[in-house]
Amino acid sequence: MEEHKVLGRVSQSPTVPGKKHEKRKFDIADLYSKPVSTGEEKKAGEYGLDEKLRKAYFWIANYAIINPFCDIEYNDAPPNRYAMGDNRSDLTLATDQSYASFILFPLLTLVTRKKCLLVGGPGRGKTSSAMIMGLLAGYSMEEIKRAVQHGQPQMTVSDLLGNPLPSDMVNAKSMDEIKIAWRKWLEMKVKIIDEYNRIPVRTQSALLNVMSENYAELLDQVYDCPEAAWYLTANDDAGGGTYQVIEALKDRIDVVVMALHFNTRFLGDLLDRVERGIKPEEAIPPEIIFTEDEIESINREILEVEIPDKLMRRIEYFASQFELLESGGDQFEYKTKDNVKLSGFPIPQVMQGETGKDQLKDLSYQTLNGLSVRAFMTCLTFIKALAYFRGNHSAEFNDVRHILPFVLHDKLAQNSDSPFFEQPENMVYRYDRVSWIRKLFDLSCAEYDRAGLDKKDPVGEMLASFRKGLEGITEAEVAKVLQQIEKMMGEVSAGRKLYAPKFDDVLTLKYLHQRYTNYLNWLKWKE
Amino acid sequence: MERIIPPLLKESLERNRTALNSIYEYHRSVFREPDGEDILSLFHKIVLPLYERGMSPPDDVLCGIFTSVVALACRGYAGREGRYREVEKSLLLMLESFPELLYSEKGFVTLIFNVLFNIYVKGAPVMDMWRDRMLRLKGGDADSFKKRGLVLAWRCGAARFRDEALSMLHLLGADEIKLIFDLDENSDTEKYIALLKRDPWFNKAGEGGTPFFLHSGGFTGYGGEFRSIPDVFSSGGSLFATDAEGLYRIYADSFGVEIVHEREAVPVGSRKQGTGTVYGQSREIIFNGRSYPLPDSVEGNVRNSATAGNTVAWTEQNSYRVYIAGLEGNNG
Repeated sequence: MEEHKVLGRVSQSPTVPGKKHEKRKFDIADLYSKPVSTGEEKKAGEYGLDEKLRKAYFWIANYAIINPFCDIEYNDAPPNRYAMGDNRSDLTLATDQSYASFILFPLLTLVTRKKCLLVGGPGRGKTSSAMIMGLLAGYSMEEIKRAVQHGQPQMTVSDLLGNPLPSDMVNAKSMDEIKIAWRKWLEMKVKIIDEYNRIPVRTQSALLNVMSENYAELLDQVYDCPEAAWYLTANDDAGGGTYQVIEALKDRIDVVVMALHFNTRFLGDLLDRVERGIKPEEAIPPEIIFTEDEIESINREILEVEIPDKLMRRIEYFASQFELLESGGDQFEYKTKDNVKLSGFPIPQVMQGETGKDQLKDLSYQTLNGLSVRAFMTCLTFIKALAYFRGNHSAEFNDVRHILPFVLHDKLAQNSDSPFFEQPENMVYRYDRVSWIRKLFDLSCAEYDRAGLDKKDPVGEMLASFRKGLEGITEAEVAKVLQQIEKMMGEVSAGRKLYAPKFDDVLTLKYLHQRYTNYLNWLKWKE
Repeated sequence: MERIIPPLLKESLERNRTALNSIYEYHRSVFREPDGEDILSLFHKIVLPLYERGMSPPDDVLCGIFTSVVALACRGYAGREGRYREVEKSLLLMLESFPELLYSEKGFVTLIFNVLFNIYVKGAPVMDMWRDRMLRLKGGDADSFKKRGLVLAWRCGAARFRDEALSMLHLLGADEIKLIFDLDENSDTEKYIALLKRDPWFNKAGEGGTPFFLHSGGFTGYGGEFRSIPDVFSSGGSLFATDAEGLYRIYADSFGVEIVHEREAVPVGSRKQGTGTVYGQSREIIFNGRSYPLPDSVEGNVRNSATAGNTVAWTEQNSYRVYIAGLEGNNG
């Protein structure tokens, strides 16, 4: 109890003053997926579970992890800006509640049950942060300690997953008679892999199975793991360490956050903690510990957060910027980076051959790949989670702007040979990935606004009308739509330059043309 | 606390999730924000007995049940904020007792609630009587349920159904008639039906010499019909009441009296009224030249009166009520 006092109290509600806390949206699914509400829970958490989540955040940020940064900035009024240093770097004094990514993302990972990689130098609190998340999920310190998997060069698959029982090894007549003593951590809903880049490659493959498919396999025996929040730590996210991290394993990581340097002005706090022998993970206030049901409820409530159509369109536009590589294929559908990558041919070399477009302005030239479906899904989940965390029922532009850099950190491979990075003001983006991805989004949005796509989106309108269904549409109407599609194709063709967002539009139009043509043929046959 | 959710119910809910959520959204946009948890509890109470019997109603029926539940809760008739606990209790009992009708009849929840509510306004014991007898008259299809319900409603005082109920009596069995009208085991139901048809004031108790005294109506501010003190008149053999704004038909017989809003105007020329049959000062009423004393509950400050057959209606100077007296005779 004394330790709680030293580490500070949990923030009082409301943590976001002035914000209207609306009622939860009705869903009939609550009848079969939620326990009966007794009214007591409302009394206990008058402000809802998002408030509890914020309280947990502020307790960690204010007392547990000395991380005095606010790199996730929000403004509700024009902020004061200051140009600092020789480079005249921009420093903003945010006017709205802002957050530290290093604490925020692990917390969002806990409630979305995703996979978070914490990177940074030794002693920055990566493992402590992960352990705190385990404790917030209701596990005891002892359980957490037992569950942390410490990566080391001698780690075997058995060390990671479990051992066959020795007696069965002798007596068993077939493989399925061998019982496995599965490791305890596999059944936990918070999984921590410390220094995952020190795990040998063979063991990494076994880990990949658990991470991607949620089951462990040993000697033909399978163990199904529950959905869990994963925390992996590494001193170097580029794959350094004792072993190279296999690509597939890196791909399974949903979000990457960096432990920023230690601000020396807070050395006194550290000293005080050392002198008193306090460990934050041993002093978690009970009111911010989540039950399994609460995490489940938060997860459901996060999924209910809306992403407005116009914001979604902006995300689509941004995501469409990266896949096109015009000289990557002959047939239109194969003009992609993915196509070249599969062939094993170096993508930068193909890009250099393209001379028709302004490689400075075309965002596609800044990356070596497009975005996977998994990356899209993760982005959308975290956008919703951040909006929920801020007490909103609908995502905002800045939620997207803050999420993309951390989710796409390891997913968007930078083409550092691109002329964009040769510009003196852009050179810094070669190493500052978070700022680079944010810049990409800003540039994409600027282009989106310049083209006035919020107001006119003919392909989107056509797609929306198609999604209403074809039933009852007459031959004359179909002919009109086909004519429109052909006209739009003609316009793109006349424009000569094919930019990445147009690539997806053109393929969408082609698909619609095909569907309407088939429908027209069917109508004619029916006659 | 976990709810019991049979797998069939879960399947139905999952299949109709969008439709059910849309129904809620519609009502939420039209009425005040209902309590979602409350609606879920009420809906669960109603449908669980069905699914526990292995009966999974068709999707449109399930959506119909949910619509009724949301509408009742939104209007404050049922649920946590419901103003009619006794009606809600009876509704749940009825629905649980007639699962086959709940399963097959779209709108069954609303139908039962409306019946219960309309009888409840005549008094909670009357509603209990209707409910208990309906529970004893179990069996049969939806059509016979409705017929029995209507006849029993008439018996409970819903006088507006007199003609309709009389035309259905021959469709009911003798045992059903006996139960509905409290007849002895050895009663001649045919004869009883004939008497009911002949005289609206037929007195089963054989007290033919004593008039029935009833009353109905009231001030709108207290849930009644009239904005001002009403007048009564007769026209074409029927009795009517009117206040400054509306016209109402009076239905009355030995089982009860009801005042029902009349849409069609009655020509002024055909209206007949007078105070000749009810005498406030002497506190008496004259039937067929014979005087009967008014009951103590009547003040006797008569405003006007009207007569149709053996039924007399009158109003009083200081009351929004319509008073009725009826005497057994053969001229109904």
